[in-house]
Amino acid sequence: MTERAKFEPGAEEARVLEQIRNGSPPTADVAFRERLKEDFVSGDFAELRSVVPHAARRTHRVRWAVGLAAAASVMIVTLALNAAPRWTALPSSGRGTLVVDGVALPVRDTAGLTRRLRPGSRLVLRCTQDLDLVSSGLLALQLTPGTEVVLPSPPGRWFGRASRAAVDRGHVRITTGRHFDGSRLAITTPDLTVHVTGTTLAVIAESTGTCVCVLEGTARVRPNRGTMTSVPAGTRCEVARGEPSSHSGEIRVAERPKLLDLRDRLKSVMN
Amino acid sequence: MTSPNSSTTQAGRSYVVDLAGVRRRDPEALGAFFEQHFDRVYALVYRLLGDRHAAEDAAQEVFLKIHRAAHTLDPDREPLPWITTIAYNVCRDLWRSGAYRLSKQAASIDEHGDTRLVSRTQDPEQRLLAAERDQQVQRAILALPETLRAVVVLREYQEASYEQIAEMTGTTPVAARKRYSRALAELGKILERVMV
Repeated sequence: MTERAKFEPGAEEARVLEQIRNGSPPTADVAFRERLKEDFVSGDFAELRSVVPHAARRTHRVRWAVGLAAAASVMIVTLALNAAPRWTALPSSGRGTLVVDGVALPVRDTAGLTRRLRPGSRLVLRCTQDLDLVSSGLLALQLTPGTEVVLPSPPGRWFGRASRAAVDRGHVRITTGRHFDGSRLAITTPDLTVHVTGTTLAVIAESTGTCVCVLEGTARVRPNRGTMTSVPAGTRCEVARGEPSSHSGEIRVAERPKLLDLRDRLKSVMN
Repeated sequence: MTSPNSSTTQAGRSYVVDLAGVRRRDPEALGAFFEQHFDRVYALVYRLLGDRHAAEDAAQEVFLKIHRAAHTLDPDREPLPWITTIAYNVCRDLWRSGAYRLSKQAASIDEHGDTRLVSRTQDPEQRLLAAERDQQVQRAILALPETLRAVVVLREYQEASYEQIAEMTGTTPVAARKRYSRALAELGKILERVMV
């Protein structure tokens, strides 16, 4: 360390440098120096206060811990705020059970049903009446007796906005709420996939094929081996089992009032 | 410093240090090594920290680290850059510690009347003036931000090159040089104020 600058100081800098260089070196307390020398020679530093880097390391650890805790808190809060309202079973006047992942629960026990309902749960409705399941402001499903579905996860507020459901058999009516805007729901049946981006529709999975009836908005239907078709409001799309093509027509007469009833009845919780 | 194994201390004493012995932690070699480098290490950490107690803490930490890492010392190379790097890192860790910040708020160099800035003159009056001037310079150095202070101290008192400073402070030689120039400008302003 002998190289001095190729630095050419100006007059002011030269004055400062002179003051610095003319300074006397600080010297340590003699007793401290001797004690430290003894410790250094013997290698026994046990009595030394090794506080300097430990304090710094502690500070670093604390900073990291605080940073991680803050990040974790932000993540938890974000996840909590992003989470959609959970599925809620509405009171039903029917008799029978809803089988949730193999566990049969009375349909009248709405609190018990609500506790058991989870995104991805497989549901089978064995009941005399329809059952409404609602994720407030986002999505409502009406299951008819005999229906077997896989419950979708309600879309998140900012992320996780695409979800999937399955209707293996039976008849499901679906209506979306105002918070559903911008989300996507894909519903698969043995014959097709329906892509929903905000609408009121029915998906009817029968032994001979699937029928999609759209009351409002537009749904897109893709047969398992076919191409995507748009299904506008007031129409239906049918795909026969094993067929790659779809057939369109007017919405089923019996379906329109039921979809209207579902939409109007749930307006207060969906909008 | 013509040989990595021999050196003159700030006090003018000359030592021949067996660096291979230091690697083996031979007590005699360690003693000579300590004598050779202690004054410089202490002066460096004192100038960087500006507090005798902090400087003592830092100096002992530096020698503890040197002792622990003695086996990594290269006997064929001048050990001063290695020691300076250790000392600078210890001071930097201290700067970052909350304890140091608190103590810095609570104390200043003025409060350490026993700070030993040794004047080379024998005349008591001149010695007093020189001590006063040294304290003003040290105060001015301490008034610099830590990044600028480090560059001035390493450059002026340790005679470190810009490349070495850059390596120690995690910057580029060009940036180190700019910091040095800026530090001198700042020091000039501070000294002008305190010496009026």
